[in-house]
Amino acid sequence: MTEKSTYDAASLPDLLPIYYKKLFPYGLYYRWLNYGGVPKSYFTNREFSFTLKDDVYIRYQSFADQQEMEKEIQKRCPYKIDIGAVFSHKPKDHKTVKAAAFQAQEKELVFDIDMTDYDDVRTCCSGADICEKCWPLMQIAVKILDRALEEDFGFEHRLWVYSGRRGVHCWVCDETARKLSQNGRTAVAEYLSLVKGGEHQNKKISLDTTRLHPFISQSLEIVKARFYDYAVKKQDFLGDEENHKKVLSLITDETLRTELEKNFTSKEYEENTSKTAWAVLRKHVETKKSEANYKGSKYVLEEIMLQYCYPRLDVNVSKGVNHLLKSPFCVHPKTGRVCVPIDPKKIDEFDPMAVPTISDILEELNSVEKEDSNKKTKEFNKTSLKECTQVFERFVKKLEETWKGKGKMIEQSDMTMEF
Amino acid sequence: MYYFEAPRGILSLKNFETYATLRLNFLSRVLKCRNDINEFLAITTDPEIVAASDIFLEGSYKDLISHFTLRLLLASESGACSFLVQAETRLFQFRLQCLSDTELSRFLSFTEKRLNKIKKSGKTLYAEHSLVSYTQDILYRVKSSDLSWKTVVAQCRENRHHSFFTVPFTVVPHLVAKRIVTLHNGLASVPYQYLHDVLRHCFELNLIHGVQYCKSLQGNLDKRCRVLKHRLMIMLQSKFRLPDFPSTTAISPLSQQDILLESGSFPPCMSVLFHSLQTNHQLHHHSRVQLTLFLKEIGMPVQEALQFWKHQYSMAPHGDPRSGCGPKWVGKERRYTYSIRHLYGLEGSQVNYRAHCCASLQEFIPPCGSNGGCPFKHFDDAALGQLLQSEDIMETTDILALRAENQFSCACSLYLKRKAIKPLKSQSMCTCSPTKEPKAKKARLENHSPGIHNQERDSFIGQREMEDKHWSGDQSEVLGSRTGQGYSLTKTVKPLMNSKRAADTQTIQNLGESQRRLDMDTSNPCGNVDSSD
Repeated sequence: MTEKSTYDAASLPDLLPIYYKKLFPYGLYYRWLNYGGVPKSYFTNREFSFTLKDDVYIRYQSFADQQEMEKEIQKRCPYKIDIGAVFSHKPKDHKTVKAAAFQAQEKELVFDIDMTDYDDVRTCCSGADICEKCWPLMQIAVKILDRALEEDFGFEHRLWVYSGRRGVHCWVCDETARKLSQNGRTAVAEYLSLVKGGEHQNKKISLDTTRLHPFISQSLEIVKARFYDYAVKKQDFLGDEENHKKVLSLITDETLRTELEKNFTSKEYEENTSKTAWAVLRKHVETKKSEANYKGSKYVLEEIMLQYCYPRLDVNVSKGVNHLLKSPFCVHPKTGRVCVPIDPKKIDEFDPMAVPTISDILEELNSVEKEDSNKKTKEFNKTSLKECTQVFERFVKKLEETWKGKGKMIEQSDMTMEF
Repeated sequence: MYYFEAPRGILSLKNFETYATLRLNFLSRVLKCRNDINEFLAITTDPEIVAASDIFLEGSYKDLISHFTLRLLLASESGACSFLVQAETRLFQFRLQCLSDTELSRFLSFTEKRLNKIKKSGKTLYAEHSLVSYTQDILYRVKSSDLSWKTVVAQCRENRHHSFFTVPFTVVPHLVAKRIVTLHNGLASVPYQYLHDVLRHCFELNLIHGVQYCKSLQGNLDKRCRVLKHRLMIMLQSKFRLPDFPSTTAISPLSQQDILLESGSFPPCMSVLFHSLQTNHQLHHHSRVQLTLFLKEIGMPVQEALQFWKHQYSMAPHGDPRSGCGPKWVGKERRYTYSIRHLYGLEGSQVNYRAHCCASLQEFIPPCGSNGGCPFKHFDDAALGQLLQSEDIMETTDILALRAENQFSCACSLYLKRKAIKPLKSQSMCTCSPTKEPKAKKARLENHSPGIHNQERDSFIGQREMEDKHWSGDQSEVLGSRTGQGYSLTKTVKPLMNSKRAADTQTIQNLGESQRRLDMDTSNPCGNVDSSD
């Protein structure tokens, strides 16, 4: 096994050209974004944006076909590619069209989960860092959201992508999703949001209904299954006094909170592990709730668990028909990692630290080509990108099946038409 | 009440113009009712409206003519379109509410028959055909295949919990957003009590589609139509601040150095951001957009803005343990520059964005960990208490009470009023004499209130806030109902209401396309500078 080379951002200008020549999966990528050529202009009216070296940013890129796209990407070697909306006209011609006439018409429904949004509830890292102690948050996010998108909304074509550093993206590509208005997108995003509030809102979850909506109960199940392992063992979320305070600040019932405060400061607490703290917390809450005069929230514990674990998505990213989002298979300039598709059903086996960097892959390619000069094997299949590309391939194939029965599709879209 | 087909016939030019004008007037008033049926009923008894009532009489030929005239003439102006869709949908909603149960079931039955007739006639274009099928499908689902309309209406009235119909979730987005309905495989189970919402959705969709179609006819517009259109647009602009309305012109430019001084009279939403910027030397994307637009609105030219942001971002955050992040401007200068220039209308689609108004900030959903939005809505009690305390405001009960009722702008007015009567603190770094300073602030802050209402106000705190207590919780309702948005337009229209709020150093909300682009473009003018990855 060749030694893994360390990635150096300065070498990007040398590495990217090779990556874009040999490894970027243009074929599959085009098959995806072309959506079977219905309508014919779907691909040509799609906006791409490039971020080039030295932070030069160009919008309104569009291509006639796969060939032109390949050529352009290989020529420019963008540090980052964003995918935007499908417009009413070719984006590259937008200056020749009257402003009012040039409009974004369709785009995939997207979600962006960013680890920095969890900074107030992570004890291990902050900012752009992630580690195996906080990565479970992403696992929880993928599980909860993917289930809801599939079962509640009936979306069948969901592409999950690792963002290369600190989060995941989801691209929902069903026709209904692509045709959703801003209203519709906001509705989906808000349905999926439980954690609400910015910097000045300490308690971000309130479950104040007597009965929980099935979406919430199903999400809670997923959280509960992983909570102990994540919050108690990995995060040690009740491990010291400061953290006690943080957790207790989420309890609105005064008497309960003061009681717990007292408990946590008592001598028997010297051990100060989250394990015992959590057990004590639960015991007290249960006892309190069973008392006749308890007027507080029924879901105290659930609210705490959700505040610490529930997916935090930015509604603003999802709601815009025009919002540009980083493309799969880009290389993240800071980490060198490729933005690889993830199989949501296998999210627990996915290790972000093991995602190959561009230097790794190019090394692999070099050594493999020395041994096996079979020109027929697609380049990316010779590297550790193979598996992720297979995920992508399965996704594209599944999409392709839908536009085989074209007549059927028109009927379906009549039923759920957005204009 | 559904306007499916345009009427045919011959009309005198005078009537053509009169009907359209009267309807526009009427619709403006309807929209200002917000969501209160009583306010609507009050309008209908207004003698001026009664005199022209046959135009507003549902189903009358004048009603049809005036409706389709407005559709045709306003189709190409995005701000006016947005107004039209919202106002007509609101009118539809009120009309629905005025129907008795018998009338409602008759209406539904009649609509069903009409749709069948249209479909059979085969004269429609493909797109319209789909729309007809779509609406028929929804009605069919509402009937749960075998109920009579009478039963449907009865179930709607009785609010029985276990009776519901299923429709695609896109039919009831606001119910989905609040998780009022359960979803399965893309279908929402809607309790019958929400029947009106579904009917309204069909109305809105139909109207939006119709407006789109009219847009395509604009090339052949008769000259007389164009004259009328021009007149109608002027009328509309005098009542609502539309996107094309030029920003205040006679305002002295705000320079970097003056900001600190002026910040003392910023509304709390902006001063929070400003102080955060001064401490941390960076802001989250949306907060940055909000503050940039605000500074632009109060007169900061683009060059000054670029200097200001560069200066702020180049400093290291105070006592930040993660100071390793260092100055933020380096390496991102191009991106931030592009972003700021974009907001000034110098890049991309070159839209001259307006600052957010109160409604917009209140509707804003801040991502976790970011500030931005309206402090009276987005701050929790502790943070808000701190804010009030920091301005030495002692009487807080009424402010907090208003906020508890979701009357955020009212609460803010009170706050500003109390703050203004406090003696100027020395920390405000005022180097001018006290008498000079308030004038400067006043002048600047007043200047971008909507032209028509300037004369009503002598201080930047309006007179009527205190009285206007029914700026009600219906705000959330209006936000929830989100009419006029099928075509990606989100913001509710609350122009005049905002003008009377103290915190209307925010300007009137844009209608329509420009605002939509604001949402689309500024949410990501250049691929989101705080790239989340």
